[in-house]
Amino acid sequence: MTNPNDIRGTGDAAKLRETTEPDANPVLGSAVDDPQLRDAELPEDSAPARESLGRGELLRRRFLRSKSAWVGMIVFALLVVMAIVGPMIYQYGPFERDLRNALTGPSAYHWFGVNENGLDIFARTMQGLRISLVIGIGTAVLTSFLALVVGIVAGYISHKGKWGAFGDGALVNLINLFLVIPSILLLMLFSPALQRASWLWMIPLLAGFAWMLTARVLRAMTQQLVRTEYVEAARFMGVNPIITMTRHIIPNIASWIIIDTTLGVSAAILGETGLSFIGFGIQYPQVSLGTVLQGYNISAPYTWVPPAAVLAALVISVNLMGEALRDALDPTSGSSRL
Amino acid sequence: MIRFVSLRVLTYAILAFVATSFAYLLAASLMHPEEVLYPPIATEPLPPATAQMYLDVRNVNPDTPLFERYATWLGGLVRGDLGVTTGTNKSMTPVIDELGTRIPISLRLVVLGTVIGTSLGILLGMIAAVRRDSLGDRASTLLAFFVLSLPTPVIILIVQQINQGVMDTTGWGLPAINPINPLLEPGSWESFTYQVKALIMPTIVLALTAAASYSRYMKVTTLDVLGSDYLRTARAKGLTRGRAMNRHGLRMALIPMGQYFAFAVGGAFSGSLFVELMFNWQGIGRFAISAIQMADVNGTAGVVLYSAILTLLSATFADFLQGALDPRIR
Repeated sequence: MTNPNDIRGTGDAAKLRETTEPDANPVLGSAVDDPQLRDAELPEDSAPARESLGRGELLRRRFLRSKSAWVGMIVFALLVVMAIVGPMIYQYGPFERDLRNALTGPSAYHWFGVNENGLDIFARTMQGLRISLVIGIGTAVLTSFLALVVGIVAGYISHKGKWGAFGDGALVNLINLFLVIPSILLLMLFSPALQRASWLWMIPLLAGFAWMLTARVLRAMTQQLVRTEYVEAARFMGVNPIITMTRHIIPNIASWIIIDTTLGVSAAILGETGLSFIGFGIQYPQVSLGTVLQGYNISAPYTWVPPAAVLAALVISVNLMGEALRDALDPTSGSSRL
Repeated sequence: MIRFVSLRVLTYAILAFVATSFAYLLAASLMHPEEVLYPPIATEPLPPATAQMYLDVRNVNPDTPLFERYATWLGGLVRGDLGVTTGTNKSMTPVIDELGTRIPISLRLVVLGTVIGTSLGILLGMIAAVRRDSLGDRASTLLAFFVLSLPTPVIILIVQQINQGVMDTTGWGLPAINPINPLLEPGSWESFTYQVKALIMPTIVLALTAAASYSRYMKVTTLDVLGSDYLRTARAKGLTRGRAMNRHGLRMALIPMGQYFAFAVGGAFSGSLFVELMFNWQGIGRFAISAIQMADVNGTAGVVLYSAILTLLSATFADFLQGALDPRIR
């Protein structure tokens, strides 16, 4: 092992020995047998052999070591439980009016108080949390999927002749076009028409205006991967492009996609809240955290502090998990010990 | 340099034109300004000829093919005429006049917020990267994390609530709503100071959101620069840390920031939407919300045109900045 670039260990040599018949290949066989070329045997009681970790196991350990990951996971789990259980056990619904107690602070009957229209804030916050969670997670998954498809296809075809370059250029210009108009204006245009059908339309709508930046990054990453030797080799072996993408390209960018999906949850929740706040998001038969915030009253802080705090806790917990995940995957960060 | 910038400007102009056309076609096909003529909005029936006239003069007649309406609108655009307000707004104000009175109100907010926010963010990000793991780094990173985790309405509410608290305890506070006080004589010193005071809180909100994202980007790029070979060379030839950073590091760290600047203005536009709504400013953001609510096709297209021009100008400015900073482009 004089060559420092040769990272094969003694295990590889043993394997080579097993698969090499000395009679069939005398040169290689004798080289493996030559005692001078062997590494010195390690003494029995030296450092214990380190078990080799798989990549997933390594990431899991690094992720679980981070304190912020735990805080994020616990807060997120608590919020999910609250969103599921809260509306089940609470005596008021999000649209039940208690006008006698309008604009009163937190009490034993109204845990977070009542707003000026006599609507119970706790009931609305919990119902809004449900909707925001569903929209956040759904939008993030759909956004990543769209970005993955567009980004990989654009990156993969950009080297494939004139038409590939043309298609790639068209896709890049489409992405730029979406970045010129503030997406909130387009969301405001589409949203009222779709809200009449179902509140779930919010998910594809938000995803439709959120995939561009991720797609750009994935395109750049794919372009680099397409030039690697194993992808070239797969191509010369005549492997179907779709199999090449799923086998050789997606596993290499999967970590990035996971981080982006996690952080996309919080971005989607923030977008939905803003849109609902100005009245273009979730509408009457449903409540979202943005609609709850809409009933704010500066002279009565309890009308907006509870929903804002729940929203902040939700977004912060998701962001904490996402950043811990990024740290776990980043070899240059401090947590890159085993 | 000239060639580079003019080519970029041409691309931006084409993008802005395509974006505005796209928005007009979308608005014209999704909105129904003619609903104002029928129940439940209209209380008594209108003779058909009058109804046709009403719709034609506003260029929103659904019987005219979409592309003919678009061509009419485009013809007006070439002459600098953006049509008149439509939908439930029956006053038929020319959109260009409406934008003209509102742009000064919005623009000071967007420009001040972006400039203060980006410079503050760049400064904070640089300090955080150079003094890594110091108290200042931790505080600014944590603050940026919190600001980015809150939607703009909540940030506005926090700022307004703090102001309200100060006003309740000391009796002195900033005006919470309206950019100008109609009771004060326009042009007088009181009116001017009122306008400045009214500008403070909205600017804080926009600057805070811009600074939060900028300080993060800037920290990352500065950390990249700090680990680079040329900075080590600069130190090796005898420059002090500060001089090496100022002469060689800062310039390289700022180059990628230029590209984010174009998006920062778009972000400030979205932010100003909430600010104008919650501080009751009669600016473009408010107009955008009401135009879309009132099915005002021409008004919506006008707002999109304004925002596209804003993005175009800021992207051009970013390119100039990049050309000035990056010797490889010149």
